[in-house]
Amino acid sequence: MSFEEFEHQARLYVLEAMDDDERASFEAARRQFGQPAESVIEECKRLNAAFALALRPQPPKQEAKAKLMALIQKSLAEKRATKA
Amino acid sequence: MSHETVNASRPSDEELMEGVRRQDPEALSQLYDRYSGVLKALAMRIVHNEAESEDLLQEIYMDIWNHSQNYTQEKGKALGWMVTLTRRRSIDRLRKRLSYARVEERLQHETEQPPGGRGHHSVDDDLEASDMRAVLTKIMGRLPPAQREAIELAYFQGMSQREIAAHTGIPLGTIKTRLELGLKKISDGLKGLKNEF
Repeated sequence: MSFEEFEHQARLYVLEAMDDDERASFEAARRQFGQPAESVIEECKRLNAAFALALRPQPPKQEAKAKLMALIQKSLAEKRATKA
Repeated sequence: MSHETVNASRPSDEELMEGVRRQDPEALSQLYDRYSGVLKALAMRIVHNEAESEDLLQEIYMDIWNHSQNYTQEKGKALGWMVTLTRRRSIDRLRKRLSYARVEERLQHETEQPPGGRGHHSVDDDLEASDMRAVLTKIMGRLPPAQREAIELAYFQGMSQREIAAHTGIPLGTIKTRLELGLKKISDGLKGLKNEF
């Protein structure tokens, strides 16, 4: 695989759209190309966020955050109790 | 949006993730305020169910809290990591719940609309977020419908290239070309938004 082909396929890799055999081949090339390959993948990861950011945000229900933070506090208390 | 570029006095996403790694609830609270709307919209876009999206959102933030040690800045921006978590969890949920027939029916209707125009419109976002979204929607809206459909099947339904080919009845080579061309166009469009997220 040439580096140019790697660059093209990196977008598919980041979107997890590759089939197993393609992914194995891509990951072998990733190891072969080293740091330049990592930089390409890093850049492509922006695609993932872009698709989400293109959607109109939908605020969760008012009570959802309070429920989450109560679970977080409970989890913290359990961790502290385990340590003590 | 990554708000650190909007207001330098606010902690960056990465600084908040560092706080979460230290198990600081306030850091998680700020990440929630900043991105719960975006992550819920993504979950909703994938599972098409309000109650399940709410459940997923809670699970995702618990994941962020419990697995923050797995996040390092070497893995990329915090937002990208959170979006990946959301997407994977939502697609898993979708696969467990929905039959393919039901998905097909919805997709047929939805692929006719640009991505930014979907979902409930119950919130007035801040101006910066709206501007960013408008730019991203424009980039994606410029894609030919066939390329957009292929990308949406991959991103929002978690299909591989072969699965898309089987689902649409279009040759695999054509699907590969559509995905590659479409994703390249989006990537090129994003270059003008460097450092924004």
